[in-house]
Amino acid sequence: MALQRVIPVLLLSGNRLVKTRRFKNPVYIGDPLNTLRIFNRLQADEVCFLDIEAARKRSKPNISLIRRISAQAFMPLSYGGGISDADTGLEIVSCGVEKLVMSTAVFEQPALVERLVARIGSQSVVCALDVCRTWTGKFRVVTRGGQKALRMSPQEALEHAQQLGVGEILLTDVSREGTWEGLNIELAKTLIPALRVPLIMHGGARDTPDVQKALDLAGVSAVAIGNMAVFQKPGGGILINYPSVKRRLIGQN
Amino acid sequence: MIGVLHYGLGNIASLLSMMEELDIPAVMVQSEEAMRKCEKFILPGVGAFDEAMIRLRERGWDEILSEIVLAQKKPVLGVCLGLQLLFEGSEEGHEKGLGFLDGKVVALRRHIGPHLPVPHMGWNYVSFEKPSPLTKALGPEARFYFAHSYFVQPRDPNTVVLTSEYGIPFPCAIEKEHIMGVQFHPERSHSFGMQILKNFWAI
Repeated sequence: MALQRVIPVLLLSGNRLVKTRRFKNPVYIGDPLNTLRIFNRLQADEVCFLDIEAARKRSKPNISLIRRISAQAFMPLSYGGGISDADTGLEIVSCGVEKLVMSTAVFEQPALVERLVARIGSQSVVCALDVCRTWTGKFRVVTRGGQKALRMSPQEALEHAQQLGVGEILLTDVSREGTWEGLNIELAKTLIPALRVPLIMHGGARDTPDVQKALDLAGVSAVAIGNMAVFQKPGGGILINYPSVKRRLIGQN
Repeated sequence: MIGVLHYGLGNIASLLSMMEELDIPAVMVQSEEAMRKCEKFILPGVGAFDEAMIRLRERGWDEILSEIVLAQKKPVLGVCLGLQLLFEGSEEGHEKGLGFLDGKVVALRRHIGPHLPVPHMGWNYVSFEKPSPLTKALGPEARFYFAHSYFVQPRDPNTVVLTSEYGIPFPCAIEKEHIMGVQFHPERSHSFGMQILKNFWAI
């Protein structure tokens, strides 16, 4: 009984907005606040800001930028990157950000995730589950913005995250991120049977039918878009845009 | 001028920037003096009922609001927890509410069974229960962003303007003359939230 969502994922590097390919080679896109204002006009369901530098270095989030972003957002917000202690997480929430996105901490600081879940509630803690296809074709979990590979399967990581009480899973296929190859439906299908919380599919979204196909899959609460949100088309110039899709009302969102 | 009451809780900044976008004159209000200069009020709020009421009482704003809203009949719009504070009390705590509206605030969990997650968080459609200046120009496509664990039960069902559904139908916009409130977050509900704020300003 909440509507499905399409969520632009906007990557921060310092005060700039960038876009990566397979979590690498950040390309400058523009100013985060100007871009956010365009998504206000496009009426995006939710916007997710991920600070890729803070995620890699485990450095302190840019609170003043987050505060300015939150004041300008006319839709719910999530933020991830560098949340490595409870005070930082709570400070971000006090800026008005609805959800914290945790990735590295889920595996390196599980007690922190549990503490934040206890303080701000499951629904406000999202686990970013970043998975990467290996040369054998299997998927492995990565952390620290894709820099560190864990000896853990996506299924094991999902169970671990759900045990900690996270309220949502942002599943990113890093092998497809920024590639326009299409969302990985097969990967999502391997996790959906074990899901107890809403799933956001991310990585490789190509076009509106691709997003729609993912939303039509039972068990998918949202689709996150990267390239599609900031580029006109594969190989095309920068164009902030947002697809028009049919959203279902679903029981658990 | 709309005064947005700042008592340490609630997303004041985005309410103000949305009204700035709409050219609605609005200010953050932190003192009695500033409050008395405004024609209308928004009472925002997030978090726990008791903490919010204690903060309002510490500032003496419960009594000032009673005078301004009940005696001088200046319009007030409660947002999220701010709507709940307008009622007599809440199952969430022990503090008395402002009591401008008859009825109480009850826990979603007791009414929706064990299966749906609480809080109700996300976008949802609404049903129009009766015409109101607050919902003017909103159509059936209107949807709003919710994040709440409690909902209001007004004693007078005729004050319910909008309902939404999460396990059960629940009231999400209330209007009793100049006393109004919404359970959702207009400041996070783009054009639909903007319409609510425009309507409130036009009242």
